[in-house]
Amino acid sequence: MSDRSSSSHAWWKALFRLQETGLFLGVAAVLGVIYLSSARDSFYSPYSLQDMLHQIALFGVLSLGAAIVIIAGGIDLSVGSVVALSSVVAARLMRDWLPALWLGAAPPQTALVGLTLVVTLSAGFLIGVFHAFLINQIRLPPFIATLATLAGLRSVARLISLSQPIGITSDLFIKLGNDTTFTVAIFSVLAIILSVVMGMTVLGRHLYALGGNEAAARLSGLRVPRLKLIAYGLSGLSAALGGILFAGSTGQGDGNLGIGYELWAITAAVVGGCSLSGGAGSIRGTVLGLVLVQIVIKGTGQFKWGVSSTEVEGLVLGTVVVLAVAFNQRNNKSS
Amino acid sequence: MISLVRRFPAATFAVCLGFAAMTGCGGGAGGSKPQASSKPRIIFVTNSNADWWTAVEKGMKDAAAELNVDAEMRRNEGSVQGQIRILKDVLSLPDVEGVAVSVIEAKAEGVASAMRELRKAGKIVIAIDSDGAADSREAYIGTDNRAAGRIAGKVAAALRPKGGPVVVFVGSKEAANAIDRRESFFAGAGDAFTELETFTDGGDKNRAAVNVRTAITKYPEMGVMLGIWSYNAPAIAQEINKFAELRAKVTVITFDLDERAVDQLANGWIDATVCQNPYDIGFKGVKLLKAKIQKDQKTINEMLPGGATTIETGVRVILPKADSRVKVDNVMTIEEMKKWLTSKGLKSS
Repeated sequence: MSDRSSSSHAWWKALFRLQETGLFLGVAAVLGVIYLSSARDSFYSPYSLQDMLHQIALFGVLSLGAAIVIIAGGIDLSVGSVVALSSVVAARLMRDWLPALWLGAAPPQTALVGLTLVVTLSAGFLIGVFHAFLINQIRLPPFIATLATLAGLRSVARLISLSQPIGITSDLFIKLGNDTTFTVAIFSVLAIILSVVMGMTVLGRHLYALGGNEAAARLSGLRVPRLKLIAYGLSGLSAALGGILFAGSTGQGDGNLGIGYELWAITAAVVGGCSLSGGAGSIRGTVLGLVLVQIVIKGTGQFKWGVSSTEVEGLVLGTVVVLAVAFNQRNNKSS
Repeated sequence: MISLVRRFPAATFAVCLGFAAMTGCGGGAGGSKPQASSKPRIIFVTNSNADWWTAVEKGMKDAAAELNVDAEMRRNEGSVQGQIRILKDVLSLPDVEGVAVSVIEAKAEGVASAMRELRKAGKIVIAIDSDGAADSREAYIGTDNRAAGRIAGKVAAALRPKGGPVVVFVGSKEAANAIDRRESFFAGAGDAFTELETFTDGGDKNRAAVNVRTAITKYPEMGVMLGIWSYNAPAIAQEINKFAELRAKVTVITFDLDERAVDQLANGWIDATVCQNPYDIGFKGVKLLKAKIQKDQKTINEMLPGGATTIETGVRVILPKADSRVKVDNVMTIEEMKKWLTSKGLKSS
């Protein structure tokens, strides 16, 4: 009996040591506060929850890629610019470039969208490969390499779009980013795949090892340049996917889309337990961090503050981020 | 440092030369003086990257071709800092003789100061679309946003005589056109209309859509949705159309005519839009700048009679179909507006 009691006690202790437990409690606490407030009915309405899920999926795609790079000991500041670039590339592919292949005939919708997705995602992956090249071969620090492309790719996006929003007319493409079911399904599949890769494969363990101690990883025989290429490639790929979804959601490719979105992606990863020094965090935690951030944003919007809720949002979100990260750090130290 | 200069004199010279070129060395504190030419170069600086600017650009290009001017549009991404940076860039271009600025925030001293610097450097500066401080520009071309707001208010009162609570959507509350349109909307609509909240999106179109969704759940009692900036219109129409019951009791009033809003208005998802004439703003902007650069007093007097500093380009009220309740000047149906757009080669206005 005492054995059973002590094992049960150990189980509870282990549960509370889990990094995600703090996030679960944070999410539950925020949901509880909203439930007890005057914002309950509007926040918990199906439409509101659906909108929140949609935003979680849209920003989640970006956060997953950002999390992998952070776990691998890097940083990707170019996410927002890749979102803009991929949105205008996709829009121009569908409006101008791909229809030319059909020599004036109307291209089939599915083939047009399919080709657009393949080309845009490949472009995103290649941007990640370019980041890895700058970091591995030119020896630029990741912060500088991706800071340069943050500015450069935004400029390329504006050049391609001629600084004008490009309307998207394909219903199928719009559905990907505008229909919550599609967007959430895409995000969920990506989250599950990346969670399995990071938690259950050799590649995942190598990425953690790289982020934990690059020198040790190199001395252990890990192929560090290749691992960085994979991490940045995945981040570029997920940012391009985000660009496709945001373009579908807004119905436009826009060189000014996604300004500051890299900060949202990094915030979700950090709140979710990813350490900016690398080697720590998880896809699970990132998703939970993202959920917490989006609940706070949505919840803040539903309260009647007497001033514009968008003016209060940053203050509330900043406070929650500080509390969440402080709790994570304290929890990690004690465990 | 000295030893470096001694070891690499050529590189040091090249770096100094590059730095001098970047900072406009020799031009004094006020930047480079413009160089007069037979084909003057002018730059339009936008406040955001909304679709609306495409129509301004078309007017600008048509005027540039007709009047033999080299005109270029530089689009700001929606931030004060971004606009200041563009204005500073223009300051370092010696061949630019005229600048038209849509001032992003009326009270942003950085923008006003950058415009004053441009004037000090000898460039002609005018404000278009959204006005700035009086001493920062020589003239303003655009809609009298106060008048436009009042007209929007009157249209709302005509379509909704009993009034109601209003939710407002805008990119930035501080923009002069936003302040003018919002304040005068309520003045024109009357006391029966009260403001519930103004949602801002900072120029982020995804956020604009999120704000509409938030308002729908937060304020089920709202009676009017007012979209102040052009892209707010499609964001409102897209969402409100999903709720037949709510749509039936909410009046949607917007400004300008975004490309996506054309069909939405035709479908009746928007009740009325108060539309500026961006094409005219672009055309007249080039014409006035050229006249001022070349000191063509006759054209200046024609455009700004009696020493005026404002050119009013007027507004049109666009409705899904003719409605006898709306008794204001310049009312058009969306079908009439579509014909006008086609005649100018435009998709939005």
